Amino acid sequence: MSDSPSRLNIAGLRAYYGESQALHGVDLQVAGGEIVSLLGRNGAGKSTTLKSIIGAMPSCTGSILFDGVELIGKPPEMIGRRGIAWCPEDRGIFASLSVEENLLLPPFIKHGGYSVDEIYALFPNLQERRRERGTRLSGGEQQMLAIARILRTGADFLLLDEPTEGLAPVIVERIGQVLLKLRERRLTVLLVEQNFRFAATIADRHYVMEDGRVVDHFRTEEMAANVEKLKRRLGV
Amino acid sequence: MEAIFGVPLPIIVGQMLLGLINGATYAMLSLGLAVIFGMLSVINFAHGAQYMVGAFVAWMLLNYLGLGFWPALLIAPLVVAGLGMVIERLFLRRLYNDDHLYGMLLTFGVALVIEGVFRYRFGSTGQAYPNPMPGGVDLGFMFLPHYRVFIIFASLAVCLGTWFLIERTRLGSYLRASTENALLVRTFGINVPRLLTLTYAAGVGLAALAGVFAAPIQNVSPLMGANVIITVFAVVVIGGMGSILGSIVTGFMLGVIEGLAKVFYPQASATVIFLIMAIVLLFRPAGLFGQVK
Amino acid sequence: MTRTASLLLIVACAAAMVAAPFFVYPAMLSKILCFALFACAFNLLVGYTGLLSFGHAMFYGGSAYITAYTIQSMGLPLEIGILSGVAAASLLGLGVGLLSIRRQGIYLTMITLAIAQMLFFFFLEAPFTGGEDGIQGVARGKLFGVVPLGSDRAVYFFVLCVFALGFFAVYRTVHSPFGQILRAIRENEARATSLGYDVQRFKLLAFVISAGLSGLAGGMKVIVFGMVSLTDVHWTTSGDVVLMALIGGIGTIAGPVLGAGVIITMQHYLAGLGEWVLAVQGGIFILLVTFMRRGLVGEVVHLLRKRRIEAGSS
Repeated sequence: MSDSPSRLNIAGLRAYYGESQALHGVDLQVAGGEIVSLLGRNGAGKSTTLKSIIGAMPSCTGSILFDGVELIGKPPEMIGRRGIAWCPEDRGIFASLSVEENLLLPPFIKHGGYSVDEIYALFPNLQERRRERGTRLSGGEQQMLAIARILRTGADFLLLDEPTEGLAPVIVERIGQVLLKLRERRLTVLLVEQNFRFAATIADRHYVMEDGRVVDHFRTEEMAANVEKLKRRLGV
Repeated sequence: MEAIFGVPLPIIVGQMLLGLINGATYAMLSLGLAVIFGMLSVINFAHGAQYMVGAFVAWMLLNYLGLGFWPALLIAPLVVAGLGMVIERLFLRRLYNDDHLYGMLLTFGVALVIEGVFRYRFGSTGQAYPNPMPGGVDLGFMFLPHYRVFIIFASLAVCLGTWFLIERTRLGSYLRASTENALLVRTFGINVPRLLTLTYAAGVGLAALAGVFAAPIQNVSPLMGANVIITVFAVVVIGGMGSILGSIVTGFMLGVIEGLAKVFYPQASATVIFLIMAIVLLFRPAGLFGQVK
Repeated sequence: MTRTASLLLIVACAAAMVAAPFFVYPAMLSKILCFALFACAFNLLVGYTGLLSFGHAMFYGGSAYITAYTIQSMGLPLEIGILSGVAAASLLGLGVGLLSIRRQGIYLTMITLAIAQMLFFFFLEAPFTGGEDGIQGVARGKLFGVVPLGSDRAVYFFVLCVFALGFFAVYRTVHSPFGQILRAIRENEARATSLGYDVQRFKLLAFVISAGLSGLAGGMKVIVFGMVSLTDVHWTTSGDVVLMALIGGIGTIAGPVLGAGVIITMQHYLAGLGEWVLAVQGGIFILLVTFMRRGLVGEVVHLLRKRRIEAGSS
């Protein structure tokens, strides 16, 4: 665990989709400036955990403390205003808006965000295609746009849901570089991934989820020792 | 030329003018419906009743408070929009996640309540409302009333202003994005539920404004809403609710066609819009400007 | 509900229906039965196929006009008159269905409403309808030339028989493989299509059956009241039948019957209030949709099912 205080503290999180229970008691912490990954196979509850944090789950019990404030029961707009940003699995690029409109859409949250120029410097292809419809971009470009538009707002706690899914290795590497750059700006990232090798290249710590619970936890240095166990859990 | 198909030119142009005015009403009402439907996925059956209430508020402002047309243009839509906000917060907002049919049933109920109350109070006869811009221009072959020209341009301005607001402003981009993925927009920190309330209120306000515009031209009667709403539904099906501009163009166009039908084939004039709807359904079911979802 | 319980309930209802005209005005009971049949026919389309038509009065009233005209102006016997009405309504249902099913959901509803409005104007203008006066004084005559229908009570029993037939037809349709496919279409049209069903054909058939039975109700109405007017093709009548299905329970067999009873009775007692009836009906719509959209029968069915599940799991 790093020396910085814990920004996100989840304890005993249970989440329900209507009558069926998706999370059976999740505990995890993320400190400021860390990149932490949430690994597990499909259906383990990783996306549901992110959704619970951002307030998108209809019913949750337990506790999600962010900078000491309880998030459970608050509406998504209030959670977003505290500086937490969510990049869903489908990236959520709006088809009826241009790339630039997509980029400029989320409102200012707090200082410390990237300026438009800095963003275009980080993602030059977004500048090239800024007048096109958002969904005309390739998968990788849409992922970059999804990350880029959050960076503008000054949000400093990112929830990324499988950013590398379905992307070519070259793009995956590029996204990894971008995420490492974010750490220099003291952004905190909670990253959901199935690709544990990618997670190992950028994250400090890893939680492993199975059947709606956290079942394992190790630092990246310990990854090599845990690789076989991990592969079994992930079903690869 | 003096006449087309044996009908004198002044009559044709006069009817086209009337048609443009009806078209202005159709455009404003179908625009309001499209905005509400786009954002809330609700067909606001109460739209006609809210149009009627707009006209009545203008009439009441004049007869009870001595306030004329120009203040009414501002006050009536605000009052009726406020009414709309109450309806949305108390009832409509519970139905967003359900089958769209319930939204329509609810707004149908609202329409019945509004119409019932007004019919009880005012009966079915119309009340007169004075023309705020009397007089007109003599063009030689016909007389062009000032007020009618004003309505056409004012309606067009309001419609284009609404289009601009939705397509070219930041607020509009919030609206458009929310129709695609309301949850994600909320996570950006935008209060989408409040946006939905305001959108319903704005759509209702548009209907009320159309009612104020209509007041000096036709008698202000509790039946004016029901008479127009079903025609506007047909306009909406013809245009398809895919685009704002599409709704505006279709509204004006159908008003003119209806006006011309009155000249050349009066018995069919009440039904010509519905006939066009049937034809459009056969060849372009998504509507002239619609997108098949 | 157990089999014996349901059987007892049916027998009790049947007995009540047979005894009723000796206690309550037969004319009002006949009116309730006409609308009950109308509402059941409507429910076939909305409750079981998931298609909300807001213009069903065109089938009911349209058939009424045809029935009245054939009996009065063409002098045909009343059975032929009623059958003509049903035929006309079914044909109309085919046409309307062909146009409306090209769109889905609320568009379909708006289309049915628009077509119904167009037909309203037609009935307003057409010479044979009598315009604002409607067709009046249609004689009841004798059923099959034998049974005199002079008294209200006789008419009631005739209507009761027809209603029973119509209700049975709806019941059999719902509980047949055809009915199950309709319900599948209501639940998830895409899945029904992927299973290989010609969904459009089924929707069209549902439209025709619903229209035809509504037409039967309309024909009955002419026999009971001896008249037809523009109100019968007006959108308020379409709205009435929607309310009846809603209050009773969309998607239940008995719901629309109960709904018809409630609404007709309510309209009868509120008749003195004039236009307040509209506002009251609107208020009921709002409250139902917000708090009790399963309707009276629907809520009862839901409670019974819940109790059965709880009893089963304990």
